Amino acid sequence: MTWQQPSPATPSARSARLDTPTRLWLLLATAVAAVLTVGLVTGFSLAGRESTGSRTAQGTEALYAEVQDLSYNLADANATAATALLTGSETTSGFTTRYDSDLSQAEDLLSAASQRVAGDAYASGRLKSVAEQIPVYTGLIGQALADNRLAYPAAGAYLRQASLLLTGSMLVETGDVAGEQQSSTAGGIGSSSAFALWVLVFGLIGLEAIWLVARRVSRITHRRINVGLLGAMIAVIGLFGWSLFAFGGAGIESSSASGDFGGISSAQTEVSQLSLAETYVALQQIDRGEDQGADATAAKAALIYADPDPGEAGSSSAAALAAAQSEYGKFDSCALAAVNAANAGRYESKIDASGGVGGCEPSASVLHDDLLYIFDLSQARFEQDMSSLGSQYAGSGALPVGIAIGVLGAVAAAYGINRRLAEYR
Amino acid sequence: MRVRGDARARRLILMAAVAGLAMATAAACGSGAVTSAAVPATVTPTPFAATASPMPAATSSGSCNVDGSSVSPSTTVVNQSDINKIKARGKLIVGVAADQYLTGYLNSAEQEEGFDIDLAHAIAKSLLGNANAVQFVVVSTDQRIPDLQNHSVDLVIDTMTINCERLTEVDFSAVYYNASQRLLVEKGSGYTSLATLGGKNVCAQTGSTSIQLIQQTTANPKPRAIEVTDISDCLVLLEENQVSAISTDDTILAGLAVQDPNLQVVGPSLSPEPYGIAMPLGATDLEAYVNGVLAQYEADGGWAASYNHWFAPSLGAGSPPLAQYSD
Repeated sequence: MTWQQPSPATPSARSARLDTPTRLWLLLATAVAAVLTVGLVTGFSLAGRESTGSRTAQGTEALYAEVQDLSYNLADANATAATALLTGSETTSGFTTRYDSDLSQAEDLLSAASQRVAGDAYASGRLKSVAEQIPVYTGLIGQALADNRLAYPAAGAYLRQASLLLTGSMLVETGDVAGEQQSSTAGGIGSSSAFALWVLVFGLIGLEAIWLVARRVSRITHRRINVGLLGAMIAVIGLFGWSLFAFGGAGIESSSASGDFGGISSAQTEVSQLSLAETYVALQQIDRGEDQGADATAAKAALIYADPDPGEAGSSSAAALAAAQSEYGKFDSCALAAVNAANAGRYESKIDASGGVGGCEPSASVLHDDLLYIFDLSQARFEQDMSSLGSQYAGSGALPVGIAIGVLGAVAAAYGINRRLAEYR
Repeated sequence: MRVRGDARARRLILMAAVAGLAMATAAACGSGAVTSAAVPATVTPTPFAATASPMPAATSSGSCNVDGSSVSPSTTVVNQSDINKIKARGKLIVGVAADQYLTGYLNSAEQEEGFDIDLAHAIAKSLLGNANAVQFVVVSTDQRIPDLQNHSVDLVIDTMTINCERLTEVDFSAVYYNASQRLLVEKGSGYTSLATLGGKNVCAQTGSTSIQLIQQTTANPKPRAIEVTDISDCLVLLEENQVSAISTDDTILAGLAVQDPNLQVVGPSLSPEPYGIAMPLGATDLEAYVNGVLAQYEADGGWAASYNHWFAPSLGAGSPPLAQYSD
């Protein structure tokens, strides 16, 4: 028995084996698969982008804002305690209220932020450490205030240690988390509007497939146009056009959101640096320069970072920015005068300058409110931008809409080819 | 015995000079702020003050004698430009500390007070007829000599130890307080000297001679020196049990002990620290005048009253050092 290799079938021979209905069934399946694939790819892509944007706005950016706010409240508590030590042996109720409020808010923010980072070991560890240090910090401040009531110089030493714990550890750790979330937020904003290349690839392949199917059907049935396939083609073009439009619109919203996020970031950094500047000005006066001028240098650096960034405000907050810049000028002059007075050993004037009613404190308070107002405006614009970005993707309906259009296109293709198949039954 | 005889002779010379200076001052001020009658015959020299050279081995170094480096009180200084400048200004500008409890610190009314501050008031009263005609300028340790050299302040009274290096940069009055470096520890801790602190952390101010003393101790293992920029920070470290003792001048330790009654000053003197009032180099008229006021202050009981108020509860009885002069 011998085995003979079969001769390869020629195209005409292969097509001869397929009758017309079978070929039409294959074309129908191809068309349906192509349209459904384009619909699914488009739907999933747009839904993914919408989900990224939503997660960025409601997750990472919210966490970033909370952690920055936490930093601010801790820094402000320290500035309040430091200023209280300068104003006399008895802590006024105004300072006590502000200090308690800062710590209460810090604890609430810490609790909320800790829940948000439940799956992030790095951030969880950092926030847990901050939570553990808050009682130590408050203990040191409590001892400083108690010593201050007795006019004991140890008050300054306890304040220095508390400030060192705050700036050297607690704020560093919250800064680590804020930095991580800032990167995530910036990345999330970019990702939420990044054009998905595979949508283009699948769209073109799908279009090409429908076009080829339409030509084959036309050749087999001797009809120029198949209405069903025309509908399928319109569906694919629609999906393609929708995705292009959505990505374009999202890109514009994303760009605007990035600018607003920069404003949020700047305003929160400035308000924290303002509090640090207040702290360092007070510390420089309390330790009378025995730190070789380190506090004075740190105060001046913090003052530079507290300067409102001209680029952080949109058109709606230009007036607020101008007000903040004007107030910053006053505070900067006042704080530098206090630093210089302390450098010159004029403790009477330095105390009046930084802690007294006519000193820097009122100006710092107004500047603080101005910066928070800019932050609120930027935050509102950011949320609006991210909401609009989601709308570009049909919100949470991107996937159902994509699938629905794909299914409609597939049904149209199936209907069109099935009508031709009916002629063979 | 010869030493005691020298001391008596010096005291007689000193009292005569003080009486002359006081009369001249009273005439100049027209206020009678200081009178010769204030020179007391009731000064009770203690054995410490009665010795002409309280700590000769430690206070003399090389070619410099820190105890006897200052000019004697005089009423015949030809050039009184420094004094005249202060009188014309109407206030004495004095560099002081603001955070050294008992020597120079801000009280709850934000006013300077302490042992050094009392002395500043006494000089202002003698020079200007008003104890409050003094402007205090808070100076950091590093800034004391530069502030004198650029005449930002007339005097520095800030627990400033006279030593040979400083004598080349500024002038000093006669010694107004003989401090000594000792230790501050928890009561009942059992630590009595550096030798008992082997292997333990001992806190001291960066750049101070205390650091060298800790490192040079013969204890085995040696105590570990923990350095801080401000001595008050040592108190916090001791209260937190991060260090077992603090080493610095006994006057400063006394101030820390008052802030925490669970602490006590212990041990023998590790190093003598003769305090002087610093003034710009070449201000001889001012130096002679201040020495006169100092002698008067010590003789009329002002020194003793101030000491008893600030230091006696922590350091026990004390007496003024015996003045020695270079001429």
